[in-house]
Amino acid sequence: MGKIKAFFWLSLSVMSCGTQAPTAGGDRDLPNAGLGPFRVLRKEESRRVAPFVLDASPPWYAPSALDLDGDPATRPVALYVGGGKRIDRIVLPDSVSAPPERTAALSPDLPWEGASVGDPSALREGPEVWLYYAANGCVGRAVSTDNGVTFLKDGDPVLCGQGGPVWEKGALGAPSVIRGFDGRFHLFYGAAGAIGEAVSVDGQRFSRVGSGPVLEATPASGPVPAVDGGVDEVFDDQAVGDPCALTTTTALGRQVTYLYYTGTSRLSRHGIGAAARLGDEGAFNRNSTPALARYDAQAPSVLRFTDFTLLYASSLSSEAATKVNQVILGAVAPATAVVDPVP
Amino acid sequence: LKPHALASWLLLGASLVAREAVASPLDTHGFGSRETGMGTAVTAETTSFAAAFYNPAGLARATRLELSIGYLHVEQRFALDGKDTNVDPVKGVVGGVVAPGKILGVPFAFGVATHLPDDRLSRVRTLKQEVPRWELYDNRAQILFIAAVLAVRPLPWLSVGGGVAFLSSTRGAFDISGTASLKEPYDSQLRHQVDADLTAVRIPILGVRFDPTDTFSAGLSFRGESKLDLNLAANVSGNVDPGTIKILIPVKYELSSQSYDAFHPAQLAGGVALRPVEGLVLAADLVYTRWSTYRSATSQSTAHLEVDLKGVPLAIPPDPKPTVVRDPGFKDRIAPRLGVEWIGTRTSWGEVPLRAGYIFEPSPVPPQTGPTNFVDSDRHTVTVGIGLRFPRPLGVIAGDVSLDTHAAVSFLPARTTLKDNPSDYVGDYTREGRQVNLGATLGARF
Repeated sequence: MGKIKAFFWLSLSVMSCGTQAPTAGGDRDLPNAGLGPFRVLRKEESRRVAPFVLDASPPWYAPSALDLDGDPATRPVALYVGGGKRIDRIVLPDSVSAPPERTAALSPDLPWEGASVGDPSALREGPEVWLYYAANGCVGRAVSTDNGVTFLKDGDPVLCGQGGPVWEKGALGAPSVIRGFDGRFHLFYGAAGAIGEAVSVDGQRFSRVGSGPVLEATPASGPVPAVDGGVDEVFDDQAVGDPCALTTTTALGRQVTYLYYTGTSRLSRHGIGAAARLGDEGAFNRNSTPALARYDAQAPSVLRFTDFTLLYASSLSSEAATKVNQVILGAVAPATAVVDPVP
Repeated sequence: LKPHALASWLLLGASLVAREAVASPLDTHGFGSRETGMGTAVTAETTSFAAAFYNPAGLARATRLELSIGYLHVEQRFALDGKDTNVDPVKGVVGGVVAPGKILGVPFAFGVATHLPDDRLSRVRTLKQEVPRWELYDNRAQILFIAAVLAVRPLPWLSVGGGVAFLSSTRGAFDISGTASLKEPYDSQLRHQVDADLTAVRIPILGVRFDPTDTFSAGLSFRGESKLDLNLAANVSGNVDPGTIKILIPVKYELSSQSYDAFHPAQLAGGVALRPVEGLVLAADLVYTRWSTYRSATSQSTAHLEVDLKGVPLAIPPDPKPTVVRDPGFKDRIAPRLGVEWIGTRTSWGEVPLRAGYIFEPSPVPPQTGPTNFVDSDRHTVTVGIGLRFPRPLGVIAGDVSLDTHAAVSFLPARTTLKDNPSDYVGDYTREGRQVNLGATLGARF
């Protein structure tokens, strides 16, 4: 019996080697394309009233962000925003906090433009900055040689709704222009609740791709769901628009064209959607999960930095209050990213 | 009653009131150093406490009371896109008792076996099904295992055994009521009540072993399927004091969550063992694992918020919609296991068995080209082991004492995951894994 006791105490001493459990693991450095879903900015990440990067009056619409120095490792951003009849330029030194100063970038002064310009889309092209914009159912272009401060417009629009295919219903807007993997310029535009595409070799003369849109609203199924009907309502079954395109290469080297857009549901809610295709051609596959579905966000603009991706969008100034303003919201992906404040 | 038989009945009684959870990281990393060193190809071979896990029928061939205790440590590096995801190591104490005896002249044995994690007894982690996770190696490892089995040998060449392992399911609820002040949170007066319950789930373990000659054995064993049902309900009811206006806003919030954890698939293992010459054992197993019944551990949650605004100009967000859990679509698999043991050194003071083994486990997880990210790859494991066996060490113990050690290295070769939808938020990635398993078991037979 004494030997069994000795064995028992020896066993107990072995078991007593256990220590307090360390923090559980398994979730470090998980892969993420860095393109969504986005979380809104936190209070400690912005000098403005987070999650907003621009919340002063007047109402702001349809931002377009430009990496001011073209270096994704640094943070200065120029934000072009529509407000009223013109497009303003605001510099955000830390990419997320807009100072009160702003300058006019474009105003309507050409005969074809009508009374206002808006929906800017900035593109860095070599030493120049090109600013595409919407006016009077057409898309125009202006060129800057001083890093996007002042612009010189082309005389004529680069693409107009008039004379276009039937589905566009004679008007288009909300341009987004990227240089594709094929070296051509790809213009995505919103028209009649869908998104179309046109291409150009010089960025000035665009021709439409195909005879229909490249992205349409998700086909509606069944009756309009009740607000709290217990079903997962689709966020973009009424319309899609306000495209924002960017190109990226996956971790395994596949070339992908990403297309963010505003999705409108049959409940008249808005969310930011994401779709993508491999390379420069073909249909877009949408992600059924919205990239951002808060603050009634619309008109996205997306900018990739080294460690995270920032999304700017028109949004309401509150999710809870019934009286709200139209402001510019900031969000980041992946959600685990930390946007350190720039001193 | 002889002391062995008395011990058996006492252990049987203790097992019937056991409340511990049971499941198994053991089929991933092995149970017992001798068995692990032989590539776990022991369905027709082992007679130690590990037989309670591999084939309870083997216990009926035990001839002496056996006490064993050991330790297992597995370091893991599971990488995605070349970065270690920091999956927890597996560490714990293993041990067991085998108590043989005879009833009406029929040899029988009772055995208890356990694996006790030393970091945490159990870990529950439910993730969105889109979040990448090493589904077979993440938190399935942190589970307490206890099995109690009984075996008889009605004929000299036939042994049968069976037993029960235990899992526990968790059901919990918490309720909060009172008044919460938004302006002065410390002035809030809230009452809470937490209720948690552990309920046992049992798994059958059955086995049969044939020993027609001294040089050949064959075995067949079956373990049933198990999983933990995790249910959580939460209720918050009370008043919110906005602080800015003199009004209390009644609020009621209900949350329920249901998920599963620690799924352990049903297994059927068949094995043979050959002893062509004295001191040499060659063993091979085929293990069929029914992974096709695997259910995703993704939580299915519902929530409902009721607020009587009493005219306050606020908009209440809609209820979150229930998660649609996708079928993970796992496939059944058949895994071969090979093992060898050679006792090359026999002296008057003892013997030194040398062991080696190999296991190939094809992944049951289908290509993750869709929204889910259950990460896995085929797994190759090479094992080695060495033991020391001392009869009557120092003359103070009537039986013999053994110390078995093992080392195993598992490789999950690098593979790529390409998403069908290029707008997938996780995107393409590479995956690879490596595990290093070290352990030792000390045994004494009386």
